[in-house]
Amino acid sequence: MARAVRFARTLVYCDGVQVAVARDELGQLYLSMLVQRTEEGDTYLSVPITVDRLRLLQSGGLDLREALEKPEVQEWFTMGVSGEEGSQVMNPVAAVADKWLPEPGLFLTEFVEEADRLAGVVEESTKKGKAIVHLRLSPPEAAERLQIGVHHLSQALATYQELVKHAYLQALQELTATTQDENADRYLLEVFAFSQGSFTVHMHSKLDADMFGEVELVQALEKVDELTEDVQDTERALQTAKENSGHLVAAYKRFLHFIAETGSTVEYNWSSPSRGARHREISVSQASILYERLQSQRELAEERVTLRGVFVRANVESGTWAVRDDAGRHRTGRIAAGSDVSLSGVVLDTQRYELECIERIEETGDGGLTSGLELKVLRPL
Amino acid sequence: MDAQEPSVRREHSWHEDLPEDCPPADARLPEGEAYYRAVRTYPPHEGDFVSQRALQPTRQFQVSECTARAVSLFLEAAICFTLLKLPLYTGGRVVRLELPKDAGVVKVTRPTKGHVSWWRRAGFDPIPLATGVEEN
Repeated sequence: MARAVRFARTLVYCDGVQVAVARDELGQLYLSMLVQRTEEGDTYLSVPITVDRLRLLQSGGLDLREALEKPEVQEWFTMGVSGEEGSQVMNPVAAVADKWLPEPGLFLTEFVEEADRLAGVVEESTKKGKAIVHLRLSPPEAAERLQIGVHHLSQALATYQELVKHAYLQALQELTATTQDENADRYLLEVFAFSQGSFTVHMHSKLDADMFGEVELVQALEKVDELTEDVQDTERALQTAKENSGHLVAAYKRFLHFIAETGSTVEYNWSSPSRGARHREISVSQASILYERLQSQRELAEERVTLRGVFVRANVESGTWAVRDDAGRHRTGRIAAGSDVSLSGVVLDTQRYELECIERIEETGDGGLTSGLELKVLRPL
Repeated sequence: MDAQEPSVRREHSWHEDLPEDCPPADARLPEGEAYYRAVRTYPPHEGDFVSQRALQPTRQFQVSECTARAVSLFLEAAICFTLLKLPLYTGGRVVRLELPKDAGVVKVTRPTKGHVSWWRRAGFDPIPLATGVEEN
């Protein structure tokens, strides 16, 4: 039976409407794609589509061919559009000619402006009451299908989570001058979905937003934004890195190294119930250039650390020491080369001290990180 | 890159007849920057650079008459390669055009990402400038 519809929304435009959503008088939506153009008018292929499936199509979870070839309800229509204002008439067809279908691997996310792309992350954030991150990975194997190598996925998630962790700890340190409160729940992310485009990982904060919509993880996400803001300007990016040297820059370097090594441009979008959405993209060439530059700056691997606690061991001859800090953690180190600090006369276990140290972070052969504390200033409390 | 002066708009003559107040006042002169277009033949011919209106002279459009008389370009080649997967562009190619000032005027127009409407100036021939682009 023929149906009357009106175009409701354009999804792809190029010399006219290529792909659109149409709506009939009862509110049923149809996905419509231009398949033929003559001097008299255009012909569209249309299939009924639900709001959920349309959302999936627009977020990259479904390619256009599949949406048209295998609609939820097995109905296909053709619609001739010659331009009279108002509704168009769709006529049913029994089958779809292959020449009327798009090639596989056409995802509408390629045509979506940033503001529209961010709409998805904002919607999820509002719905879940958590901070949401979409991490889009583009290794070669994800170019045309919703697939990714396990090693690429695990590496991406591990390096990104590590970056967020150290961004959170750095942000917290700037706010409170302490790194004592390291409740991991506050910076942990959990994966809840994947979608195409290229391979997008959907993550949310482990913790819910409070009654004002605030999520602690946002402090970390904003700190990461600070690092990635000038990724196209190496000198400015270097300056920002110097202000965040130590563990955070080491984690950022590992993230850049992942991008450069896998040839995978990375994009991320994030939003929280109380904040606007943000978007960043780091290309392979940007990551390679910045990684090499950061790698050449030895001082970026250093971080100032202040400890407060009691000595449990102090070796005057070797200059090595062990401290139990106020949070009960055991920290060890040595006196910094060239420092005039002495451990002679240090009182063990009963006297509290403040130790100003430099922590040097170094990469290990297996791609991990190791660090050591060097004591520069010592004062009793 | 400034928006076109009203006088520029008046002084231009256009490849296609344009309605009053078209191109829009905030369209601007290109300055040699690159644009991309999906074409159906390669090397391209004149028919690859005409508007919807030129192809369908008697039709009414659901976009404004000014938009219907513009040619679609894109800021990135990648979008055009994706367009080639649509039935209307099967077997087509992507070309790059570095538009000089005398090419007409351009304006970025949503909703499709990186879409640019180009109103072509009379006497400007894009074919010699169109170079084929290979997908990476």
